[in-house]
Amino acid sequence: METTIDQLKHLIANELDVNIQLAEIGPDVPLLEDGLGLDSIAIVELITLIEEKFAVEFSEDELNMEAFANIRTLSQWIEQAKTPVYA
Amino acid sequence: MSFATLLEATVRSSASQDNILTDGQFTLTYAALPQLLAEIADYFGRQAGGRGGCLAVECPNTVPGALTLLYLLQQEVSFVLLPPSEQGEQASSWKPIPLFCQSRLVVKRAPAVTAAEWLHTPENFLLLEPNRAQQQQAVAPVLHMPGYLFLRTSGSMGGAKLVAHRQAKLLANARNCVEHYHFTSADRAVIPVPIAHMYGLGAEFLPAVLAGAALDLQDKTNLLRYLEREKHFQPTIAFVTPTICEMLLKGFRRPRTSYRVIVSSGQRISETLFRAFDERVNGCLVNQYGSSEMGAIAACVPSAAQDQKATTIGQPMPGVRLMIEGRNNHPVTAPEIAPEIAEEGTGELFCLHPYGFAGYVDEEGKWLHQPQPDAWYPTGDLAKRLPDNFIQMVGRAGNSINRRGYLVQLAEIEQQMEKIPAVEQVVVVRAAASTDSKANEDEQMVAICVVNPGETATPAQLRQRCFDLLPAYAIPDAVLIVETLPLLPSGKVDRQALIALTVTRTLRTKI
Repeated sequence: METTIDQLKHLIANELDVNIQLAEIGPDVPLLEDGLGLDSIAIVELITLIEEKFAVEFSEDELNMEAFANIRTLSQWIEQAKTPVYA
Repeated sequence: MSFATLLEATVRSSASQDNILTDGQFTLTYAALPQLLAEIADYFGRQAGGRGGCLAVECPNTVPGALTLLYLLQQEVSFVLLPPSEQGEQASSWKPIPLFCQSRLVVKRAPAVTAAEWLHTPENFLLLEPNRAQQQQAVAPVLHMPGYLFLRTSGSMGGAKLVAHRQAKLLANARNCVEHYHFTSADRAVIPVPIAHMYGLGAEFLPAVLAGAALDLQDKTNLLRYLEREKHFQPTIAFVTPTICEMLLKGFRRPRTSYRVIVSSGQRISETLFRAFDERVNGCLVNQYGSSEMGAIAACVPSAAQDQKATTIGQPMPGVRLMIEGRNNHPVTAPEIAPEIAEEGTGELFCLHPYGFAGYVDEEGKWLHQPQPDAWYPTGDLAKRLPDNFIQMVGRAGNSINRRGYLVQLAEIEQQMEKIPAVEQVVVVRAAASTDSKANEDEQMVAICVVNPGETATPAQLRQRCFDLLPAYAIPDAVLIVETLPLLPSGKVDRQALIALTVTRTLRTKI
């Protein structure tokens, strides 16, 4: 099963309206200026896509630079936000 | 009163002197300004060639940028105000500056972590470069007048030219905004729009400084940064664009009661977006109408009814008068407007503004056009008069096309097509003339649409829907579907790019 990190990589490479290749998206590459350079519009789109794909909802306080530092931090947030499933 | 005097008053006033100007990196108080501005004066004294002539100033939304602007206005130095160049560009690839400018003044971006002392050495953030092109072309600086500010403008049609403002009038324009929006020293103004454009500069930055309000300058803002800064700064006023409204609507998950007014301007905001965001911010949203030439022209007030705020441009600014000239009064003989499309009282909006621009100049500083004082200025925008004399903006004037003897306004076709559920955005343009068109043939028009996410539609289907909404002669000849509309740096739709698209797409289908 695809990890959250992989799913996020594909989201950015294929569904976000930006010209970023899969190979450029390392788990620790910054999402903003000093890395992938996601602009204001891309960030808003990314939030929408994440909430749709992972069925999660960011609270206002969770929309912060720390959570969105890179794919790894994002996936960590998503993991803890998803409803736990009991086997 | 000169800006120097007004600034002095703000700096000395006990109500404002401890208020801050910040950009997230540097924070200073109004009381600290005199020393910093004196240090900038000394900096210019140290430069070879000293002061003199006109500058071209590249100014980001930062504290150093703000200091530089305040200095130039305090000294009534004439300058061309430009947005910052992209980071890391080599000097040789810098965009050319107008030939009448002696020098380029770059306000540099500060390195990441810097002590407050850094601001006290202007060499850290200022770079003055002589205009070599002027020297090479031996162009004598044409403009010798102090106290002017020049802004580049690129309309959505046509080429770039410079808008010239007397600084004294620019300040009067700003004072209108102070009066209309009741800026006070108790306010905290966040500025996420460029202060290098008329809107950010004239409607928010200067009014805030004149009132001694606290200022938060945001450069390249995004939602995450905005939310973070908002927590610390706690703004009461924000001037934004429709794009920023969309962004904040996404991020303001809790309703906001902390703002007393949020102003949207720069482009027409859709009624849907207006109402949704207005509700989220507790009814404090207003729409402002203005231009680089006229500054602020009209705006609603937050307390007005939402219907009025969402569909009209509200009241003219102090001293400004507005008039709509119906096409029947227009001196140009034009065929009758089709009654099914034309609304009663629609025409071009004219403005009589005491603090408008002095004229346009070209790259050499020669006057291209100087409006007559006390003359009604054509805004180039179409407007409709509503009951009770409220004015609603309809679109750009002059965007019309001849069809079977009727003069059809492209903006009106856009309004009708916006009613198609599958259509998110639509722009109708006159198709680029093909080489084999005859002079007396009807002009072709193309509707370029962005389809609503979740909907599917083909160009043929969209065109078919037009038959229910428009008379036959007003139906676009072709419909193109695009992912997004190309935009100019100002955020407005790039109609020229769309016209170019009509050529390439047509060529492709012919192959």
